[in-house]
Amino acid sequence: MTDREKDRLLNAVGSRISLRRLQRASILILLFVLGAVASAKSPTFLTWYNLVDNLFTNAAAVGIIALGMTFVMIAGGFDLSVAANTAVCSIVLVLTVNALLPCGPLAAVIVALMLTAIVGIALGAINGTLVAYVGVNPFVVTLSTMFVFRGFGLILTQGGQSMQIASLTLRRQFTDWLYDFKCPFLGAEYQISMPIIVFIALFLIGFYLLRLTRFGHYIYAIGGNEQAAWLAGVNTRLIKACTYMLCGFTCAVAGALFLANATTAEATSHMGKELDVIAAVIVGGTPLGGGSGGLVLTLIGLILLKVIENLLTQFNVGAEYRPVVTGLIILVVVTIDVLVNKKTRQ
Amino acid sequence: MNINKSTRFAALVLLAVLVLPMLGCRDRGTRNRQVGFLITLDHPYWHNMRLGAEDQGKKLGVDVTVLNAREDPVLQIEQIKEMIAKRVDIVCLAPMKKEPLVRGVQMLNEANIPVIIVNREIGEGCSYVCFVGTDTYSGAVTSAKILAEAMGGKGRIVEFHQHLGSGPELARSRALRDVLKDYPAIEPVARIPHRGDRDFVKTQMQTLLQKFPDMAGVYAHGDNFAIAAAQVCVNSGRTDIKVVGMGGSQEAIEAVKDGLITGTSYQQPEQEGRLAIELAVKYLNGETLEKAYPIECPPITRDNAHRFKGQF
Repeated sequence: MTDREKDRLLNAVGSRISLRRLQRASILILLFVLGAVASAKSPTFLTWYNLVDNLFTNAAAVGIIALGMTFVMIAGGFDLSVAANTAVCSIVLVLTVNALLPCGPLAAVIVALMLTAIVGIALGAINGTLVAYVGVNPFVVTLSTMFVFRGFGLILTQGGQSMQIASLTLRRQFTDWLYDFKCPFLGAEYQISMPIIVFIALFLIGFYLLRLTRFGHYIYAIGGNEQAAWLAGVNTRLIKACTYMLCGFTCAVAGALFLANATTAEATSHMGKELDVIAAVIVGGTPLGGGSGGLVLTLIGLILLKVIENLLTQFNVGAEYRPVVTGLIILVVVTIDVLVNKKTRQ
Repeated sequence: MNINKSTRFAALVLLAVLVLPMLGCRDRGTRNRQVGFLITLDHPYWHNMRLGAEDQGKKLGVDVTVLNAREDPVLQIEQIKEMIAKRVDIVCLAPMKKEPLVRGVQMLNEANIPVIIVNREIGEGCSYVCFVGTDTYSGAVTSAKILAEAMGGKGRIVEFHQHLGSGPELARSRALRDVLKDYPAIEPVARIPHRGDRDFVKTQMQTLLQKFPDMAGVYAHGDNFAIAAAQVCVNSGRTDIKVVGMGGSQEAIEAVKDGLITGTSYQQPEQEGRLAIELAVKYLNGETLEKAYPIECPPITRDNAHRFKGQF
């Protein structure tokens, strides 16, 4: 290797790192600038209620699904059915709680939560089996299951009735336990709510799984090059199917939190949330093809999108401009990603 | 380090797009009164309510924040939280569903933010200042009566109903049942949910015409769907079938004039939005309000259609 070639190689590596870093940092810088301007301009932005009780608590449930989605997308997959899965899980939860009410409220809730988790995982397993073992394109599979799951929801609710926990006291308790429960964080005034606690717990577990276990490394390997991973002896099909089941589990958790917040389960709820989730993952920096990315990135992407949504309300922006702004952000972030990739390949 | 020019440019554009409009926002040191207006925008009806509300807000010097819950009560409860976080002075709420939104209003009660319920009913267990809205039930009764009279009090009818379990759906279904008590010879033979989709109504209507050749009337929750059903009747040469809608949109008034549909009842969304904001400001000024402000829905038939101008 001549010196010139060596130089070029080093340059390429160097610019790759710095550009990547710059790109990641740019989202953080953007977040910081947005936060600073918003705090200066709106007296209600930088308050504990707005940021923690409103913004982060609302973001937590969507964020939990985004954690599962990150696993699926790093392995090169895609899941459009998450919102429908979440809706079905909420409905199943209400139906089982109502059916088990005679056994006592606590037992009913615990059994129902377990059953809901199983349902979420099972629906994920349907996606996983079709994608990994049958080999159908994940977009097609999850697009179809999205309709099917919505249909399940409609069937379970007799055509779209609102489902609520039948006992009024239990309905209130359920919300108290799973949503309004607050953990004193910095004294009595600054408390964090249950969804945030659940999110942090799942985030840590997910981080451990993805970064520190063989399972996590296999997921990256499959996203990077499935063939190579298979040749290296990885059971790629099983791992891929597992990512969808994980994603289904996160849908079940989110379904329970949504139910606790709204006290109602609807077959047609969360329309379009699958796209919010995918947007958060992509804006964070996990590419559609998989192979790289991570949970921290997803968290940053999620917070960026949610902060912007919150600001649009804070600054009284008309409903018609909101999707435009969200769409533009995704577009710009992904465009930068593509440009950076092109640059590093040169 | 060698940063791509276009990358830098794209980053700058992103920053500019986001930050510049915010710099332009009015400093809220001298903050107007804030009104949260939580509705859905999935039908032109709501757009006109929103226009009325925003216009009235401008006239009275209050800031109106309109949020679109897209018929989803779960989303609407999140939006209520946003309103509490924004510390609005009062909220005008169109509850997407009657029972589920009780929790949302309770949250506003706890935060000491007064609530005016707009257009749709709310369940028990929460407190609000007043209700303002179209009297959906009496409007539906008007439409049902037009249909029954036009049919001469006998025959088979089909009902196209909307979002199951929503306030208007319940009221309109109840209105039909109540009116039919006076017309025992009228027999409802099918109930089809239309989910807000004209094409769906058309396909269903074609099927129903085959299935019930002796059909004499259509009771549609909403003008759009009445028009869709009537067009199918005309195409199949069944102009004898009487079709009524409810709402009184511009298109429907034209359709009544042309004789495409038999009649409809006249709702005034713009008026609803205006009145809601007006009452909100009155309440904030300390005036005492009535508990309910129903807005009447007069009948529109071929005889009087020329006197109406649709608000949506």
